Amino acid sequence: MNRHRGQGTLLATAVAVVLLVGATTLGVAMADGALHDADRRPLDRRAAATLAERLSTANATSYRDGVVRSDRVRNLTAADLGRLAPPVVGRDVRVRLDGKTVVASPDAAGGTTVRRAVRVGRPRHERRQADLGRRRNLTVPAGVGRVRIYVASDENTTVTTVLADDRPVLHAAAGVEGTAVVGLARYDPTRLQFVVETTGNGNVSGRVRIEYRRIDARPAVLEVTVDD
Amino acid sequence: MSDERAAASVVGKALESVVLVLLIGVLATMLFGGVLPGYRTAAGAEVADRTLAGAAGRIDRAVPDGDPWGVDRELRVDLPDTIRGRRYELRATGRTLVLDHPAAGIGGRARLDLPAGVRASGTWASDTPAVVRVRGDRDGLRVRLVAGPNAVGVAGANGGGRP
Repeated sequence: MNRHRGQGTLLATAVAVVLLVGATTLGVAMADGALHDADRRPLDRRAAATLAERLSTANATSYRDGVVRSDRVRNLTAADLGRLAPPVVGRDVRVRLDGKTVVASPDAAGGTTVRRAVRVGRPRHERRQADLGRRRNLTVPAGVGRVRIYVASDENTTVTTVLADDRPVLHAAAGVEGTAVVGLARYDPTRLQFVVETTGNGNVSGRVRIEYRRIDARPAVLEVTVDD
Repeated sequence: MSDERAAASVVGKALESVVLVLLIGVLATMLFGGVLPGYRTAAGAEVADRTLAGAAGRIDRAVPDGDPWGVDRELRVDLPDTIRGRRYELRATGRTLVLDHPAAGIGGRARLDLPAGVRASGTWASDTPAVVRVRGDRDGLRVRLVAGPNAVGVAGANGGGRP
């Protein structure tokens, strides 16, 4: 009976040992999980963020900051991506524009994804012209930053000045003739006005033509995934 | 009979003590011998990755992508003094930033996002203030990692950061 008392304490020790080992194992497992969750893959994230920023701002792939050239982005190769954003060299990359995969390395599956709201632009070339005898101004819509002006006036007419919203952008006392490219503010429509002097019989004649590129843009999501 | 009873008690106590001492020994050996150093290394590797990514980002930000002529700027970079309790080094080798740490399994390399033709050089020790110095002249941009006792934010009026 007394012998049983000694073994009872031994039993209690065994239970304590089991509990202690269990608690330690649980603690180690929890630490494992915490460490796993803390792995944010910062180098992949940096590579993805750099590429997304570059795609939406570089001259090669965008019309201006945030407006992506869809034709260029769709024709990108993996080598182009490395040239645009060196941090992605040697990593698996997948670029999706508007849910459609544009470029993908063969092994890009999981990894870190960065999403950017961008606008996808498609260019539209427009031209307008006016007969100086009837009309001496032309309006350029908002969103156009550059316009090519072509002046062909007849012998008795001289276009001395071209005004953009009353600001002189071209001036030549002897006459503005031929082609010139002029920068405009993009934020509002701009009214181009042609100031004309006549010699001889007083009839103004000649033609002016303007050409510009407008960007039709729609919002889209640019998604860059980088996997090590 | 009474001899036996006393012996049983002593044997029992001795067994308990041996079991407990063995348990503590095994647990301590397991935790300090394998599990804890492994965790310290894993956590250190994660901190090293973040340090590397952060430092590379700061270097990229210090380098303007416009006209290099006349650029003269310094940008301070915050680095953890130690990783896994040890000093470490960040080295720029051309277009790559390398983190060197004495412990195996910690460290790595990251490609810098520099304009074409620009190379970076120099070394940062983790326990001195780290400054990236960018100078530009006719030959282009030079990027150096230097120790800066009196580090400033951004010096020089030339060249704004990247948009």
